[in-house]
Amino acid sequence: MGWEQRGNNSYYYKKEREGSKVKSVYVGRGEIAHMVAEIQSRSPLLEKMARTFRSPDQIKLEESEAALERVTNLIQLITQAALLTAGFHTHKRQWRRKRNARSYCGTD
Amino acid sequence: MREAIAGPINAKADQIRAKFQSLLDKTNKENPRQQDVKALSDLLVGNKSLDLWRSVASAGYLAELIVIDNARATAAMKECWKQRLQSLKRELGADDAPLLEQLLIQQAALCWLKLNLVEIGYSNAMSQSITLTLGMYWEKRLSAAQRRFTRACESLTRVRKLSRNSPPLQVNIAAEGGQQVNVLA
Repeated sequence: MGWEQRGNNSYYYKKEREGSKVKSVYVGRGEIAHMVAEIQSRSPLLEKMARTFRSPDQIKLEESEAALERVTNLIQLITQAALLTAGFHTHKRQWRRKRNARSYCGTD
Repeated sequence: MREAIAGPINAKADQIRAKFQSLLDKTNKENPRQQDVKALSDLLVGNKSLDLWRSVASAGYLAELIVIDNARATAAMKECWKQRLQSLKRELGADDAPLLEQLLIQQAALCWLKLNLVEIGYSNAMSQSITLTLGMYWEKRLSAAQRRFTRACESLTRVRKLSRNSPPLQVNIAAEGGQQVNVLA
């Protein structure tokens, strides 16, 4: 993002990525372009400050989410293990039972 | 109190996860090696099976405590949530379900509770004038809670469906007069 000199004037462009290519998008020139440039130069800093500051409520929310995520992952693993040992397998993310599958255990 | 029990429970849960993950990577394929499946089976229903289920259930119970304790609500409200959580588990058939289904019911109930709490927080946040960053933060939290709840319900349904569709073990007993009695085990 920045000012580019074209002829005798400076124009403000912003850069946008499209896949592997980066293209310049014209924003403007003059006073408005200066304002836009100033706001955009500050916004990453504001974003960073907002991300760094977390309220006590947010900390609690994230703590409970982490606990929930941990137990969810564990139960998903156990479920997969139980299904695999019961003679199932995944085919294109779908659980299927093998023909004449030999069950190694029950789930109860 | 919670911090004192959280450490050992989390450590045990991490240990179980590491063991299962390595075996699952080997067995979740079309034709896994029989010894890997056997090892997974031993881990699941071996001598320490009760210990395993108890550890996972403890991790779930700890998560329940953390989620309820951290909720922004009065003590009375938290008690109501606890009771509602228990009754939801009963409604989902936790009392008579096999061990695996009990865990999945616990997970679904917990995710349901979390989704409700996040929805309350989201509504509170949206009723005020908030920054774009905070709005996005709540959107993200809500989407994650909804995704987690959907996934938990899907897992429970899948396991119930698969266990229902598995052919039950049938025992044929010859009775007098050449009649045959079929008994489902």
